[in-house]
Amino acid sequence: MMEKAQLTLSSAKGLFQSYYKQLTVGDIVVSSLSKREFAFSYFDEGGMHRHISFEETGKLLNHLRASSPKHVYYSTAYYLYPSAKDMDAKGWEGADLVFDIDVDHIETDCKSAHDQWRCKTCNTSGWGNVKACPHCGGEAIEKRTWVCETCINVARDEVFKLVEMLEMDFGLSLHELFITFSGHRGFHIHVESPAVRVLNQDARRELIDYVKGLGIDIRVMLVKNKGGFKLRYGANSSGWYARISRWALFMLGAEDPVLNLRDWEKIFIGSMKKEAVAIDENVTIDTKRLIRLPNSLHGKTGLKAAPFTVNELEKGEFIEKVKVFSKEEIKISTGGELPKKVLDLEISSTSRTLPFYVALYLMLNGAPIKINV
Amino acid sequence: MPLKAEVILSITDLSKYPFIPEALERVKTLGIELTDFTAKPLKGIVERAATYVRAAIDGVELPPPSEDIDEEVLSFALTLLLLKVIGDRMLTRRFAVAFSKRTGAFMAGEDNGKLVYILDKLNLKILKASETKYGYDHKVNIFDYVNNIPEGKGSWKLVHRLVEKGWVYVNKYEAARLGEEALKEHIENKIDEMKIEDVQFPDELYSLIEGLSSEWGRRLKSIREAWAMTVQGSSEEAFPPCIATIISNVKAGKNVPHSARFALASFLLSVGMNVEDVLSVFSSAPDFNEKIARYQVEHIAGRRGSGKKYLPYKCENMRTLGLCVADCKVKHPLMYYWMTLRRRSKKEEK
Ligand code: SF4
Ligand SMILES: [Zn+2]
Ligand SMILES: [Zn+2]
Repeated sequence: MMEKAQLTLSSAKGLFQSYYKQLTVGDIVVSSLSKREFAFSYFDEGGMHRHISFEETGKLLNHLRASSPKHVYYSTAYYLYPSAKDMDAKGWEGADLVFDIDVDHIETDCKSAHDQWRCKTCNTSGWGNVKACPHCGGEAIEKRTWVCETCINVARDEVFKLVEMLEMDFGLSLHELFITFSGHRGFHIHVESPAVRVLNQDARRELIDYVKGLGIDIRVMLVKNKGGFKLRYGANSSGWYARISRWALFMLGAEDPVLNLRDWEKIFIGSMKKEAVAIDENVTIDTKRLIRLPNSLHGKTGLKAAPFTVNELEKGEFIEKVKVFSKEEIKISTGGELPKKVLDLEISSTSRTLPFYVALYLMLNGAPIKINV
Repeated sequence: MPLKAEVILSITDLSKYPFIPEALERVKTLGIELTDFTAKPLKGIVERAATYVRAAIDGVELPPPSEDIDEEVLSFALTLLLLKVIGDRMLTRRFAVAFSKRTGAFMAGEDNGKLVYILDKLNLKILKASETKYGYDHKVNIFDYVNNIPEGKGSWKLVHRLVEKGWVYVNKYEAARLGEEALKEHIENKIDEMKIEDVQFPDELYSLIEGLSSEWGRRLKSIREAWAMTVQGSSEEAFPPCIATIISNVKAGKNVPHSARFALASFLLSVGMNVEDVLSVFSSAPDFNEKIARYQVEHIAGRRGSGKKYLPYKCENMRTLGLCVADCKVKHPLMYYWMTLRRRSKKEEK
């Protein structure tokens, strides 16, 4: 019998290396690469190495092959001097408009099957998502979160809503939208068109509010009519007016009704619940953000930040596109409870083997698991 | 896209809009050198430019443009140059604001074709709508709209607009207002981009620049002193405790609620500060957003919207808003201020 060897965090580096070795220039899809700041973190040392730039794609690729980083980020901003250490000296020239959809910010039913929390005050722990400890009320909560297919489907539906808004309202076309898996629990939607690069932060704030339906004021959108109220712009309008009208049609069978304020409020709330998109606004507002490099590996999942077309998302192809490592069943041993559901797999407490890519995800993201190879 | 032939900007138009390329081209063909400005016939231009800079220093409205198109365009160009050499961001902004305001009033009065043409020169993509929608006859590119939005609330807020396929429907006045915002930035960028390293200034222009610089320095100093006075102990006497409290909160970088900002701005405007001075006061707050603050303060001063000038809240209102911090036995914070001043001047007479 062969000596049992164990996969460790540092040997995971070798796996990442085998991935980066086969990567080609065509897999690196960053426009104006030489104007971007890059940042890396590595398996064998802590911290983040920032303010790095590359003249061309080939040089970035060489670096990836040579160092097999744990995480790779690039700036959504374009700089005159991307490697300047001082942010003010970088010479900001503009930034892509980026939307981040992350199930961290969305309630899903599956969280009780895979997310864990531990109270730092009294050490109570449990499954699901809590804001404060149910035992002692402490708010210092440590979380370990996981992703499953249900999560991905929820995130995907948000992407569809966003895409519809970007097309119908913002007038962007599909080929201007670049969608990638974030590497863990969601998607990034990048817009690189020249018209958006120059948007200042106030302008981005306004677009965020639009996408999230924030600041909608019922009194501004309604006008008095025959003893009640009517939408200021009625059934044949567009934008949020059309969304609200659509919801009125769905709920009441009338697209341009006259209602009292209380009934309108219900329609507004219903429409916003259904149509507002759950984006993480911090990403969109930040014009100097670092974001994961498409087609790079996420160091806590071993999954690839793969680009997706809307079409591919509709077809529901997911795991096959983001999974890099093999499906081969391998032996594991556990030192505690595993999440019951991750990626496309249900895990029973008696499982003694798992597909390699699932086991690797569990190990990288800190589950109590040992992989014997 | 507006067709050039469709719009004929007359000579008088050019003097209203000296920033558009046609106007600037015209000046170039005159072939005037900086040294020519010191000669008699061009003195008027220098004087006008100096007037513009002084208006910015004092925070007052600009005079109407010269009827002589060449004089106006040259004065405009020279004003930008003077501001570049003085090199103070705040002063530049004050000029950009004053100039845009003057221009905004002209733009709102133009016919649709001219307006579209001028906005196009400011890189604001605007189209005449193929059909009028709910009284809106123009549409502005959505990204230009949000980049130039005067305030992110009420009817301006994007969620409340008729938005369709990348366009936001607007009426003529809204279009002119967006143009005003775009023009502010246009002017600031123009000044930013100017290169003056190789420019040789004749002595007379130099002494003008020095004069204006020190005028601005004095103005800035008095703004800062007024502010410092209101913040330091001396204000405890003349300013009512409620206002003094808001001021120290602003200074301490605390998050001051809208109602408190309103109370402070309306109070300072009532005791003789102008809009620019009040803005300088607010600018020491860490979350200061010049665009929003300006809009609010101008609104309170009655320069925007209804044109109504707002008086500060009565003590009664201050109390309900939770801004009252003492029981001064007056009905109005302003009453406290005037009474204190009267008392003080009587003391001095004695
Ligand atoms: S009584 Fe009036 S003046 Fe005095 S603190 Fe209250 S609000 Fe201000
Ligand atoms: Zn606890
Ligand atoms: Zn899930």
